[in-house]
Amino acid sequence: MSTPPNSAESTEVLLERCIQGDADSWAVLVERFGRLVYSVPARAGLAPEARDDVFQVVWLLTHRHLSQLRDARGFPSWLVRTAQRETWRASKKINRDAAGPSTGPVQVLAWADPEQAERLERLHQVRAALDGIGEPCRSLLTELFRSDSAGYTAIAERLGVPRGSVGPTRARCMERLKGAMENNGLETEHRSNTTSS
Amino acid sequence: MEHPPIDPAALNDLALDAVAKRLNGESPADGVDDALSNTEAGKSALQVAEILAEAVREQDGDMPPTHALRKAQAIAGTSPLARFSKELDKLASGARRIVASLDLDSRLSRPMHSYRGATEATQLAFSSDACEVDIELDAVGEEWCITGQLSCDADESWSVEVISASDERLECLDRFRASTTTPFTTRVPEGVFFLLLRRGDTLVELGPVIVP
Repeated sequence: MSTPPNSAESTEVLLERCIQGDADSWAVLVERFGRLVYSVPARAGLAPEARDDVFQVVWLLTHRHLSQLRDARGFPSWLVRTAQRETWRASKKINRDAAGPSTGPVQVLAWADPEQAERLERLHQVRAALDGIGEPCRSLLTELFRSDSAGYTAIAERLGVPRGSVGPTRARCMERLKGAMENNGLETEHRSNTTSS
Repeated sequence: MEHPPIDPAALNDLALDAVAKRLNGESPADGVDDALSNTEAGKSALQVAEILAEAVREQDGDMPPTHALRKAQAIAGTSPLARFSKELDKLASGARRIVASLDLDSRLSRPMHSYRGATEATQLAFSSDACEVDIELDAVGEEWCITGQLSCDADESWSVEVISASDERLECLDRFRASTTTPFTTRVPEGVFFLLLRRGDTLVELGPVIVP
């Protein structure tokens, strides 16, 4: 535990350091998986205060169970499942408080949803892979899909590369992305039931 | 119209363009979708482009606000393990530190209201790759008696140190040897403790144990 953690440290190493009480590694871990955790209550439609509460509870539980969470590959799944359960609890309480004693069964906003969990984990892994391949690949690959994308010419100007090289460079970057995704345990081989919109 | 066979090197770029066009409400060039879906490499490229597009276009609402992030990051700094982490690291003296999992704390499963006057020993169970340890805490006057039993694959002898974590510093209160056939007993005052089990270059940490 002599060197401070950095954002490129593997999750496995971060978890081990967190288990040994290294607060700096914990901060990196929260930063790395914060969006994954927060996306669960956010997508369930909880109000910002309730989202923040769920977020805190999930990280408190994570810290409490750290010594049992050494499996870096299973860690994102554990986070999402815990966030789903806490979101479900929070939404149940919100509905109960709003409904009062005389009304019927409450409608629960969120629930354990394996499909949602798988999708969120996949998006997290893609973002991690994108971060891992560095620049200019990251910008080349993301610029195209931004809703305000300005087209090839603007991308080429912004990145300082000839317009004609954007396509071939981006194709090579995509190969690197595939490699990084596979290293993160994400399947890139075609599966007929996993296309997304 | 049938699209000519695609150069495998161009598949990725074609897939990225096709997905981008569809997202913008445009149609890919005639036959491109068919050409991409006719080969496994094409399907794979299309699938990666679709996942990538989804990840890039994700809502910013998924991002935790800075104040929530900072609060969660501060959680670790308040735990006894984090407070004493660097000191424990020094005590390890280069040994491989293994923090054992707390699998059972009978205080957490006990009923809220017990019978008046009833005293119950606290049971703790720790496990690690190297060994498992069952601990019992009993009140003895002003002190607490810690009784421990090790379980390992072989009858290995371990050096055990009882470390008090009071007053913001670590202090060794007791040191002895234990094995699967030799349970250990020690007495401690109220407070926060770590038990360090050493054998060769391995150090197994139990704790923090909060007494009572």
